[in-house]
Amino acid sequence: MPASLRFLANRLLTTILVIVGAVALLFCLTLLVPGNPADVLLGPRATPEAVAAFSKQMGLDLPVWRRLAIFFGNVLQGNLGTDVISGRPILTMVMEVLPFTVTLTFASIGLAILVGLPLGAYAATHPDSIGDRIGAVFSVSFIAMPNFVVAIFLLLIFSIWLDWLPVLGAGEPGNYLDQLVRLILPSVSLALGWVGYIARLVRSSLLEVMGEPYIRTARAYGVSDTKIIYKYALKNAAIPTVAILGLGIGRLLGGAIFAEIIFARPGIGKLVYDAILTRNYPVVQAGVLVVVLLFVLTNLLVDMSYGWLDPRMRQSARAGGGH
Amino acid sequence: MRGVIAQIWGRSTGRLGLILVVLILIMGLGAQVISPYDPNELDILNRFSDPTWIHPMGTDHLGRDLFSRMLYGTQTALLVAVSTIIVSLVVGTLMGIGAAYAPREVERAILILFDIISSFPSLVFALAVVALLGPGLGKVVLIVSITLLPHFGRVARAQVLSLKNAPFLEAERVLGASRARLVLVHIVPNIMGPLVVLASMDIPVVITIEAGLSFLGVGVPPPLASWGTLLNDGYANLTETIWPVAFAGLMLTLATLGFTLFGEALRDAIDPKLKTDR
Amino acid sequence: MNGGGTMTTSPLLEVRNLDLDYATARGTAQVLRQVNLTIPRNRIVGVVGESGSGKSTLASVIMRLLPPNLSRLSGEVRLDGTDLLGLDPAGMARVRGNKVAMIFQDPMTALNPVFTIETQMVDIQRGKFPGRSKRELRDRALEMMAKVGIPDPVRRIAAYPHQFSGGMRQRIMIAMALLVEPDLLIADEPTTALDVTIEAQIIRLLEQIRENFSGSILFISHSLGVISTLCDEVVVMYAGSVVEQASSRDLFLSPRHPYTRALLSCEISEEDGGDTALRSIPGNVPDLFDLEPACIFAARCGQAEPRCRQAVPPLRELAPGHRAACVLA
Repeated sequence: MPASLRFLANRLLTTILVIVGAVALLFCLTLLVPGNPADVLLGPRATPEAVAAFSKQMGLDLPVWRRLAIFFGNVLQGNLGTDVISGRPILTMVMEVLPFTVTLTFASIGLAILVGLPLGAYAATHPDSIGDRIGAVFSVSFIAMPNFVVAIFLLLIFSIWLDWLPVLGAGEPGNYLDQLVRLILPSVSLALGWVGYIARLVRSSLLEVMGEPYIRTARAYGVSDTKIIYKYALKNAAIPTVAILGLGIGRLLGGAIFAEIIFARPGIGKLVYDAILTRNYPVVQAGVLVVVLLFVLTNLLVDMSYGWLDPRMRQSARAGGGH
Repeated sequence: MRGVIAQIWGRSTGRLGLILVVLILIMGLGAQVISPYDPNELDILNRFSDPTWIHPMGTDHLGRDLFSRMLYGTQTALLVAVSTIIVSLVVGTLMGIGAAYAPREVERAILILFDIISSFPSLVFALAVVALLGPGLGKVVLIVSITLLPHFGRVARAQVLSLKNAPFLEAERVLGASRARLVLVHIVPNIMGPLVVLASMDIPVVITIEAGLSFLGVGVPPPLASWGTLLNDGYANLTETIWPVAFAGLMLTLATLGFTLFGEALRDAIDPKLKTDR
Repeated sequence: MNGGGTMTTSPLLEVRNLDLDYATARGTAQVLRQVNLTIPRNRIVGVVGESGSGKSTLASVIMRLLPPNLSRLSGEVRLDGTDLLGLDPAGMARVRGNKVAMIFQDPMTALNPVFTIETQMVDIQRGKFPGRSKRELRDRALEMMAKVGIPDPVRRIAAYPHQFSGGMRQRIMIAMALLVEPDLLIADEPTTALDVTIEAQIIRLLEQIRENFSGSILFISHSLGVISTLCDEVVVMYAGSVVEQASSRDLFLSPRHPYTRALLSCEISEEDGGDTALRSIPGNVPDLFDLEPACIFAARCGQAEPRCRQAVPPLRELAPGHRAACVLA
């Protein structure tokens, strides 16, 4: 088996183990909840009979290992349980809001790449220039500023002071322009830190790549500087940047909670947060599980995209090991 | 030590970081001395005051002095950051060293545990735990230190693996030194550099998570002041006054910026090769 | 070779009084000192010397691919009468890959790992043939790959560098250099990074190429053996200075500088070649910091006399076309 395939197989196995571990961990957390979950969910006014019936229905009277097995079985079938409050399947509730969170996350990461990449490329091609220094200050400030602070400041500036953009909610269904406008501030609030990250990363990896012998080869053949930077060097420099993006998605999913709450957008984060406030544990559990799944799978995807960027990671059968 | 500080001071970003860090330490450690008011003293008649000579940052929705609350918030942030980092550093390092010396299966199990922990975005993990166990200062410290375990554990393990078969350790082993002695006397001092750098770079991360949880109302419980709760109070009353949000956001930003710049300067001074990709 | 007819025309490349210093943490390193060199048209000139003799730096100066810590560069590098050191960056970019091309020492790192051979072979021709279509450039590349002995070019052109062996990669580098039909081809130790059997194959390939190649070649190597099989003329460098210069035949039959003689005897006594052989000359290459005004080889020279340590000996013409920088020669 070629090394690259073995890498993928290994990566896949780890991913599965991580998911299983995460599910188990989430289950174990519910065991630590003080008091009987049925009491907490039904509130203090519930009759003992109602609590007992509810416990039986939820399987709370079974031994722990049985409950874990049932939990696993349900998760595998995509059954995340039924919401006690609304009586709807939790999976449906999650699926309803998932597109909003995914849109927000991808809009943010797209924005961050769109702005961060040219900034980093500029800084790398003009090292120690005024622009590079100013860019460095902005990058580190963006990275340092927590995204909920950015979100509140944006809300303050654009909706309270300037009254420019409609900011709250996700927009009318079907009205794409309205939805797009309302996506601007939340995604900017999430993207800003990543603009700084990507700019810095692109700068440092480009500077490193520009010192490589293969760049000297391109120079030695009079290939133009623009082409060397934006075609040759950037693809090499993109590899470490993509590695960071995988982790970035995770942080963005965490940050999306704030953006969704502050800008009153529907989404997984808002769902989980509201569930926390009402102590609706099964919904919290399901929301967190979905976020973890998204995160783990995106990371897997990112690892596999190395093959596209870096042919050395690809299996070498196609052009045929001509050594 | 003096050389490291001089090196940090020698760079403009390091200098800014150091100044901010010292300022925040003074504010946090000296909160009781500097505060002009009791941070919980109510003055309902004087709520939503703009910054004045009497209230340098104004007052909040209950008329409490914001400057005093900000100082105590600094103390909370530092307290949470330092205790979290210490817990995580000690436990994570021990796990890392353990993994390096343990049999293959145990090592693999520890590494997979690290992978599982890292697969939860730290804030989401903290939210999940807090939601289930309820808020509390100690819980915040515990949860956040768990999410940071893999940072320290992985670095410690890698450092030990690179040192394990170093000739100077080989010599000691031949002379009959015990494993505990080897780890304590030789390994620990040798891996401290990168771990200290990592710890300092994790401070802004912890500060952000604590403030974030508190902002969501599931972090540090009232009446304790935290930048996050201050921000949330201000956010809820944004139509009345912008000052609480402005000052709390500013403090939080200056703190994370200061510790980030300081951490990076420290890394460049101690161990320029250490890359912190996370 | 066909020297007679071209002797009268101006030389292709003339390097005059070239001085180059690097600023380092330790101080100023004098890497090249008063280097003079002439490359006639249609000739292969070899430059030989130990590592640190400045031979690769000389190539970098001609290509103007120099590191940023350069503190002094003076003298002239005239290609076809144009002083390359006086060109602006855009003008120099037009010379590279057009009039001059270069083959690098390490074929494992000289090709971009994330682009196919096709992309790279097409792009390097753009400067020379701006008007031609990608298709034409690809066809030229395929033809050249076949010429340098890469089997199955049509399939292999779509492969990535890591899918080729070191020897094959160096063939690709040679093909790239030939594709732009340069007036001057610089080969900077093209076989050093390869193992011995592959090295022999590449030397054979270069021998074949020189039959049909219309330009001149500057061939840099630390091995006199390799130089002798390929070159018409040889320049011997030591610690940043040219110490001897002669036709290949004259140099091997009657070396005049003690350093050249030492090099020759090393290579004859030790078959394995390479830098290890050179180290068997007693003593070390001098420090390039704070050089004394004396013969640079005096410290290691068995025949050194007091006058060798009083002044830098000039490069003197001892016989037609044979020069050496030694007062004893």
